Amino acid sequence: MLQADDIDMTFVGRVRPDVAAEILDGEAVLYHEGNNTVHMLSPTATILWECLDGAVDLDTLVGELSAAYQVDREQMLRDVVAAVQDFGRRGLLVGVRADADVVASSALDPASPGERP
Amino acid sequence: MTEQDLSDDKFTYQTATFRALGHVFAVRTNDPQVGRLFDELYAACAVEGAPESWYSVLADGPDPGGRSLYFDDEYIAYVEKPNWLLGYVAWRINHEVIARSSGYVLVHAAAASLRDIGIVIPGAPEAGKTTLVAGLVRAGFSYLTDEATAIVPSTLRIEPYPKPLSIDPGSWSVLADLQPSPGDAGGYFDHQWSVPPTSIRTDAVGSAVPPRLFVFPQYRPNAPTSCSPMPRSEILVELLRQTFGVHDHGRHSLEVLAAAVRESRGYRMTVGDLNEAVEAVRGLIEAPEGGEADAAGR
Repeated sequence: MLQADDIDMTFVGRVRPDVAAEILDGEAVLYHEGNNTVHMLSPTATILWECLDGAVDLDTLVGELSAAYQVDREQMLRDVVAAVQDFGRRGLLVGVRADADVVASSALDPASPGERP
Repeated sequence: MTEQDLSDDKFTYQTATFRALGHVFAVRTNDPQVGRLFDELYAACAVEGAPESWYSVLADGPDPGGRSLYFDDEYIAYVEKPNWLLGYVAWRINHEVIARSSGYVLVHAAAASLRDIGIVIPGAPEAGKTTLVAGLVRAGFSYLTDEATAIVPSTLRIEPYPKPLSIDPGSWSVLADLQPSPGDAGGYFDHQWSVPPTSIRTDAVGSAVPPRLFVFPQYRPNAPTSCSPMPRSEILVELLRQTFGVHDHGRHSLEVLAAAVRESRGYRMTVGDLNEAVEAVRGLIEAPEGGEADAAGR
């Protein structure tokens, strides 16, 4: 199992199948069924999330994205690696060990109708 | 007072059958005053047909107002004084509603409607949901629920759960006109007011509507009442936090709530004054999409 901090440009990212996603106004809301956490992604992170299909490594992905968005490649690579490491810490990626503290901070506590009188 | 023979001849009063989403129940008792109280409080939930479950209330035990409570054959509790009875049964009803209503996405929220626009007011206990929805109904909105907002997945409409409003002492001063007039049943309301919606207005109970406005209240005494628009992604996250049974139905809840939120706007509301909050909600309904009160929040 890879540590999130070890993710680099050679990493091939794939989102976990037990993470459900809904996108509203370009921002993704993710619900992780395995650990009952919820995550909200920025528009940029959402675009990246949608690209993590296990097909290419981050270097190749950045090449495609930087050309499409006309952004400096090296800067984008740094930003993408950082973002994917964050996904990894949150437990959202196949083969990457989650960070327990990060997961705990995203935990979804079950709603309760109130205490028994 | 734990084991009891609950044969029919112990009970002199049976209420109507009530339907609260997936929970179909009735109350039987040997105390006609209690029976009449439940019939009045849950009248908006009355349906034809036989109940699936029974709440049994037996006047027994050493205390003059003491009552033993049963759910079907299960002993629940003994309450020494009448002012705990309604709250206890209401809590258990809510518990059963949540357990038996898996066909809905259930959000811990009050809800009201105006002109076919559903207003959902989510929040943890003590957030001010019931107070705000009571104020809205008093001002002419239709009542859907003060506890569990049920969204039907196939239609994305809110199905009403018009239970009696449970009003805590902290809100009695701003809702003084809703104080129950229970006659000789006053002892039942010392701890919390149970207010049937039809006592606010005879036509108060609304019908199924689509949610279009989400309002997340926070009561701050004496603060100016204000609203802040929320991005739809944030609305969805906050709804998930208030969804009953989310650990069992998380993916499904996410999908259904997202579909509802896409057609809606949402706001965080600081509530300093109830009347101002009611008018603020009215203003949000009438504000055009994309205007100053745009939900994108960006």
